[in-house]
Amino acid sequence: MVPDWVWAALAIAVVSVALALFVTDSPERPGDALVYDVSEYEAVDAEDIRYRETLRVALELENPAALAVDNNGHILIAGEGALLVLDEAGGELARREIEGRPYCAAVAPDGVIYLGMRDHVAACSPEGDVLAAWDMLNERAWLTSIVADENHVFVADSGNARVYVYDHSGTRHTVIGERDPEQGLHGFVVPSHYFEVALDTTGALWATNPGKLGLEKYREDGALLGAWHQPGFDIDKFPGCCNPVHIAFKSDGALVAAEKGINRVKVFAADRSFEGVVAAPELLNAGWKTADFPDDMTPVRDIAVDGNDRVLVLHGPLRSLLIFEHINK
Amino acid sequence: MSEKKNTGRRAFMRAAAAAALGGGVWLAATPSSGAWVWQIDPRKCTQCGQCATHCVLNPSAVKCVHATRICGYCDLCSGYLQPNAPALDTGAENELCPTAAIKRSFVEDPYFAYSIDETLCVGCGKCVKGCAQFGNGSLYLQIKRDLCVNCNECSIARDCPSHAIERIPLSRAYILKYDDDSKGTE
Amino acid sequence: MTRRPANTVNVACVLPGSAHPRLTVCVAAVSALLFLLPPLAATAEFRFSMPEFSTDYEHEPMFLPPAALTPPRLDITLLAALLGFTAYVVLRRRSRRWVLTLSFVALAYFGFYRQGCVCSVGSLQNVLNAYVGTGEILPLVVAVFFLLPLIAALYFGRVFCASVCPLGAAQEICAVHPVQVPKPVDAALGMLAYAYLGIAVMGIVMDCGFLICRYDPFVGFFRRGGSFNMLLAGGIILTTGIFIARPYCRYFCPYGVLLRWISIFSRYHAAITPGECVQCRLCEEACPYNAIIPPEPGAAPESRHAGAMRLGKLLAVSPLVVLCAAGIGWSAHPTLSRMHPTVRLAERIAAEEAGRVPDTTIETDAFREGDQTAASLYAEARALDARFKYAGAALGVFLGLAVCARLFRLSVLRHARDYTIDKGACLSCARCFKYCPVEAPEKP
Repeated sequence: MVPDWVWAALAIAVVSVALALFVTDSPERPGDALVYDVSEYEAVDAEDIRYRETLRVALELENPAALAVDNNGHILIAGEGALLVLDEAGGELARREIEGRPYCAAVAPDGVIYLGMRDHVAACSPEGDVLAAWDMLNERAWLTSIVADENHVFVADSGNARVYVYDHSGTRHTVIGERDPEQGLHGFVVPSHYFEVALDTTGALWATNPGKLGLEKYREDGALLGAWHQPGFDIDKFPGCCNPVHIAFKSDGALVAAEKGINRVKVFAADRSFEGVVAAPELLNAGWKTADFPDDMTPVRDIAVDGNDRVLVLHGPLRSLLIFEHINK
Repeated sequence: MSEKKNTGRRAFMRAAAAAALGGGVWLAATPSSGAWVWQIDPRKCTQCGQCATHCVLNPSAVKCVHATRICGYCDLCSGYLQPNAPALDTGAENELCPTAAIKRSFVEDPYFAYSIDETLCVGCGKCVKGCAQFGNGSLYLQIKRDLCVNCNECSIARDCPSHAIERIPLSRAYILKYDDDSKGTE
Repeated sequence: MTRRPANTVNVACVLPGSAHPRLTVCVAAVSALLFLLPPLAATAEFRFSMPEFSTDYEHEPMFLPPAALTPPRLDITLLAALLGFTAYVVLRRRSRRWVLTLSFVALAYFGFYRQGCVCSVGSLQNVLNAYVGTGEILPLVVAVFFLLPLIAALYFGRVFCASVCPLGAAQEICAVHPVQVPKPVDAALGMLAYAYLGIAVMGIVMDCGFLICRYDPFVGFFRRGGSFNMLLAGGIILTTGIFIARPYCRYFCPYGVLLRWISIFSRYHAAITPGECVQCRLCEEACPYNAIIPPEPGAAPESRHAGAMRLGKLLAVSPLVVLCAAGIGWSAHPTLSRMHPTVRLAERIAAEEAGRVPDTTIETDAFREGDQTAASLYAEARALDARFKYAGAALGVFLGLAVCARLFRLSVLRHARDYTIDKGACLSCARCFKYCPVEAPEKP
């Protein structure tokens, strides 16, 4: 016969053990295998940072989207309903009301401003008057980048993954990026609305091919002259599935490229060797929260290089223009 | 005589108590509301990985779903490949998914289609984060209504750090990230 | 659904998918309503266009299985039927075998088929939630699951516990060799259930989540998965349950406390013997739940004076007990407030900001990605902590009252001639029927 106190002890024991288990119960945490982490690639060595932010200009502009530098060294910033003209020190020279929401802008050598609206180009006088609205493109169109030289206006259309070559009157001459799998022409792979064109110092046209993680060089007639694809997560490569998102060239032929996913701006020398970082993720991600900008895949809305080889970065969430200068050692 | 009276009074009290209890609860209830079910709001989800570990079911009732309408069909898919994979090909060692639940199929050069093998997916959201950070965000996590047992309090919701799990009426069934032309909820 | 041209979709806000052919109209109405609401994300642009495939590749549309639940009517019908049948089996047929059979049915359906949800034990929280006004909706099924067992208890005793509750059924089936826990220990441990009830109610009022569901040790078995601790706790409870019958029901179950109170006033409660008690004392050994009160024929009736004195002392002492308990509850607020996730998060954030902990957690990472500032989080946590003082005091008062009530009950001497049932503690398990020699032999 088992004495009663044994059962009493057992009852107390089971209750205490159960209570202890309740109190110490903490759900299992997901292990490293279940969590996506690219922080090791986001870290930037301090010695890789070759640029210093020298000026930050707050902008009174809704949805700032486009950045361009004209021949006088003035900075043009286009946003919803307005066009700002700033001097080199960031002082506001003029504010011009415009209709609609431009996504990209360029200034031709003759001073005409070309604004890329969602599905057409608007040509404006330096004073901001609309000279002409060019033909509407198709429904898919979404213009994301525009550059102009003496004879041409190059327009990148991310929706159709094409680059259009116009003359200054708005006549379209060439479409770059037609696909022809039989001839091995992939065209551009543009999964999202980040697609850029830029002119280098020799006047050659470069276009990003985000799906290929690199740049391609084209002749005005659409012939592919060269390609530079750099997929990878290392600092000298372009990570993810669509990068770079914005490009610009310095006077010495160096390439400035902004990336999304890992938000940073980097510089590659004229020979395309990695030169350094302009803006590290830490700097670009500070002061705002992704949750508030669900449509922005990157805070950088546009980049440009001015006549003094300063790198201009248009920061959307902060509504600011960030100006970086090279650190001379 | 008095005992009889007492019994009658007790019966009345009992009936009154039952009526009060029932009435009280009835007033608090919303009898017209149908069932409510748990869903993830993809806009709030931060892919912390707890959907894989916190569901009462094993594997979790949370699965990755794919809005193919907005997929980029990329060759180098950041939801499919490890960051800085040893080689940029589709070998198993380069796959991001810990259970190899993402299937890749060739469409045409240079496009590939991706689909989720639900029997393998554990709902960790690793691919979702990769896709959202670098790509279009076409992959996202959702609670599959055929798997979820609709607990009184969802144990994932209880610990969800971004409060992304909420109840919606059964008639709405799913919270979709995009107005995708989803087919066949027969 | 008709396919729309790819680029007309320009709204990236969340829209309901078509759920069920019959519900399409409903869904359309909801969508229409959504458009009428102030646009949340309507300004967002649809920024993605599919690649132009040169082949005639069609993208695979997203497939989502239909949303369907077990019809709630089936649950309610089964609950009512099982309650009624158990009452019949306990009160009329007086059959232990039938009670066990019904236990298996309840365990199979409510336990393993419905995977333990919704259950009456947890429904207590939903009902409270609806009263507190957290915005959570109390569906009819849940309300019925809360109500029916209580009303059944008002008339027939705890028939719900006997063989309808899947948690009870699981333990009842395990209790193959029940023993009697000494009464004082049993009574003391029984007070834990009051504490559990109090804390669970506080958890709802203070918006800390559904603690009863969180710490349900058996639901893991029903779902064949769960946290290690809870599965282990469930395993231990079931194994010890071979001897200490139904430890969860007696020492933990908060819903059992409500049933206990109500069952005391039950109309047709089961009796040990259907006829005249022959004082054979056989049933004394039968009940594992200490629910049989033995007669005390030998004891001399106490003098009126002694009884009155004891009652007076108890009455004098009970306000003190209640006050003490309230004080303890009040001062326990730093511990109690940690039940709230916001308070825990604020503590962790503070520790991280002060550099007391080296790394961040999933919660703090998510917090930093969100909109809230640390200062407003701290303020929120402080306000909660202040509220927890009152909640703790209320919890203390409740527990103090429960202890006093128990003392009163124990101090009342009974002079029953026969073995009687403690209606509050009796779970209607029907074990004692088998021991009673007056009992008519069970019909096959």
